[in-house]
Amino acid sequence: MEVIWVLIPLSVLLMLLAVRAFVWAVRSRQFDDLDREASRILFEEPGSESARVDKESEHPRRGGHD
Amino acid sequence: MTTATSPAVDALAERDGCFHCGLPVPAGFDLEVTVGGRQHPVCCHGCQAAVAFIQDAGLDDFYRLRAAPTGTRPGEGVAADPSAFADADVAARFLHLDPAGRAHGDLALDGVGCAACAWVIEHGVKDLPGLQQARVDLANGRLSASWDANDATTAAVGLTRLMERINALGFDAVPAQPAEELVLHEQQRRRSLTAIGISGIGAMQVMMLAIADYAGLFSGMADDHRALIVWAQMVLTGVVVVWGAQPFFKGAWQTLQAGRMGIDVPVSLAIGLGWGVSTVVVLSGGIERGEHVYFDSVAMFTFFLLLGRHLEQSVRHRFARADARLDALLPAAVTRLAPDGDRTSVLPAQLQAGDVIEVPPGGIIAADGKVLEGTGEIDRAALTGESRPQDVGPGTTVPAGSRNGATRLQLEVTRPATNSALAAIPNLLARARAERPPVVHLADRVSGIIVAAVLFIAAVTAVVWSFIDPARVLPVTLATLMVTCPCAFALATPVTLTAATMRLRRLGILLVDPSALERAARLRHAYLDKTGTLTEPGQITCDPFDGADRQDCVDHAVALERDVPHPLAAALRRLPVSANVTFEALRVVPGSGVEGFKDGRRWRIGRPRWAASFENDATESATESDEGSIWLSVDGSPLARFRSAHGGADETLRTGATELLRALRDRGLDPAIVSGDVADRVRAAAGQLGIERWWADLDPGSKYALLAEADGGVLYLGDGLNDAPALGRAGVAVAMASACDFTRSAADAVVLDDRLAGVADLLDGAERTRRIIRQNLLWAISYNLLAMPLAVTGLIAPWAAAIGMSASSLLVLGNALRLLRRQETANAAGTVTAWK
Repeated sequence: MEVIWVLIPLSVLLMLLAVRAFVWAVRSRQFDDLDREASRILFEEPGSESARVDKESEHPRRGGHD
Repeated sequence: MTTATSPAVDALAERDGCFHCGLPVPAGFDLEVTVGGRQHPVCCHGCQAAVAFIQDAGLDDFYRLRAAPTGTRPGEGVAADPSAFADADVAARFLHLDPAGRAHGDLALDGVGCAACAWVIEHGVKDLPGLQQARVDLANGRLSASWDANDATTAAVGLTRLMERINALGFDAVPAQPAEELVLHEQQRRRSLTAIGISGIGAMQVMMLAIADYAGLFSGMADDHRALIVWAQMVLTGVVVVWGAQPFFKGAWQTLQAGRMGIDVPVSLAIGLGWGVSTVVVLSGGIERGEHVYFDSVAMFTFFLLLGRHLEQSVRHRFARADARLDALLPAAVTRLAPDGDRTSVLPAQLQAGDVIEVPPGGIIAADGKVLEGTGEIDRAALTGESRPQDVGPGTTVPAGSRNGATRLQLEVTRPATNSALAAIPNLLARARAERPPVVHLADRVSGIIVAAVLFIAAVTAVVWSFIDPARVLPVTLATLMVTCPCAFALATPVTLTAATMRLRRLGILLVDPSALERAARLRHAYLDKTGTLTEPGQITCDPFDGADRQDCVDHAVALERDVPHPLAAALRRLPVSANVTFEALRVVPGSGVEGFKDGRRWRIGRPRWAASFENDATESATESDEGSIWLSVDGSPLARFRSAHGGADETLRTGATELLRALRDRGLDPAIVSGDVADRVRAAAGQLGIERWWADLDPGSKYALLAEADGGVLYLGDGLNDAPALGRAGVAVAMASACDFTRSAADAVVLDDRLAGVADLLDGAERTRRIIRQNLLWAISYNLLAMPLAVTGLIAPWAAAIGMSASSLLVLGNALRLLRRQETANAAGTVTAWK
């Protein structure tokens, strides 16, 4: 069980690092708008490569009645 | 592209209204747009242009991903004419120029409700020349932007371009002052999030180590291993206490400095004692003696209290938003006419008495004034909740904040905007708030005694034991402090209030100030606003004259009234139409009605005497008793009469009003109506509801004065801007969801679904909450009283003290959670409440 002499101080250190990371995230405004970040992945940057490809296929998901 | 959708889908689209804004498509308007291979109807040219613009910009993903249509037609929301801000002096009031040659400005947005709206605006404005950055703050409905500008003139040009572009995208924007409150709230939110994160991460780590410690109690553990685990807990909890629990220590220090006692004091004492005592145990070699530490309890306690406080703060911030300031009710810029006829655009704050201003149709009147030119109607709904328009003509005085009708008015300003009747409301509200007796929480009243008792008993114990057995002074004193630590006591009130807030939220009531639940104990009266709270405008009915087809009349009337911003016209437009009718040369005749031509025949809708030329006496005499109705005519011969339903009364009791009155009386409250409306209408409503006490013709100040005079606590229920000062003074202030932001910000609770029975739910919830708080406090104090003699005499083992303390806190928590456990039994009518 001698390993806990390393593991417990390590976990304390990791916790301090986690706290530091969290504080950094809050200060760099990552928690300011939680609603938008969740859906950001759904939007394509207009003019980006993937957006153009998608445009050409004309979104087969919608209007697919014809 | 051919469309092969089923009729059902088409019918759905039809009912959904305009594709862009979602508002009903007026009869006779058949523009369509093609998005995603399907035709969709639009309601106006503005919306059609917006759809086209968004498609051209390649942003049509917006329509696929948005949560809902915008809800306002471009130009009809908080809109301001962008050209009003082309003036450098006006624009400068909203912009900030930095030395690097950039202008920064904030715009309040209307119609922005989801991430897709924010996205389409941010990307839609991207290609504007010189634009540096544009970011939509969805929570507050604001856009912050910066663009290149060397001087005030170029900055103003950038601002108008930005506003025009947002309008082109089908949204409305108006420049807004940078809001200090928003920045402050954002800082507070970040601070509280940081504290929660630190305590959360810390508490979990400490708990993990504590479980190892507890396991060691049963299975045995080497002393040096235990020491390591305890030291790790001490360090981690130290981080939580020093960093995370700061708000409590600061709060306690502030209340003590102010010479008061608050809940922060026992909370700080509990956290401080728990950590301090445990640290002393560790440092004085208590681990070797097998003594117990309480780091886990301290960390968890801090975390849960911070979480509760954060939830409470978020609700408060949402309602104290910058938009809730009164300025938001005035136009951002007004047109001032110089004596030589020159038009300049100025800010409302710059208006002086004697200035002449022009108010466009549908515009908001910026200052109290007197009409010089033009006749028409104004709508004071935002001010008083009164939905009936008021006739105005040369010489009539009009109050700031009312909305102009369909005609253009010229006003002479009688009082500067900063001095108007409207501007007086925030001052009255501030006075009301200051005069309202502060709530003294039951817990606050006893916390002083508790804190003093804990410290006194510990001191006495230490002194007495130093005579009995100096070696046991420290262990016994620490055990005493631990047992008497007011953890459960500090938890009792906050957790119960948090649980009650969550419970009420599920019932559709947003509790902005939880302490109102405690004030609800001393209520004796219920003062109710009438218009918009107890009553609502009636529906329109169509009575055709001999030979006319009813549906045909409705179709024509709706088409005539298509663009008229009059409440009666709005009610009329809600009637179902069967065919689209198109008129030519449609014009509004001020004070009379609307006129249009179709197939060479003249159609009119409006005042009976204007619409119909009277050929027979029967119809003429009919007009005598027909003041509230409007007539439809073709070439002067009357076709139909439109009037409010319910026997000529133009307002009806809202659903649930009678039940609300019964519920209030059942709870021993004495109801009364306080209204700004005329006596006759108030008397009618009071009679229908069986209310004996009523006041009519009240202005905001006298509503407030009535509250100040009342003997005993008053429950106030209202929704108009004129109710705001009274709400601020009431014992328990409830606003309906239909109230404007400013009024809602003055209330303790908002009934979100406008269901009147929500008020009864609130009162019952308050009663139950108070009962549970009393039980919790009683339990916490009795536990401390029972355990204290054992600890003082040194009979209690440290581990037993720890278990007792945790169990006591858990019991308090569990008792509070009973508030949440109740099943939803509220039925649709809301007569059976979930609290019974």
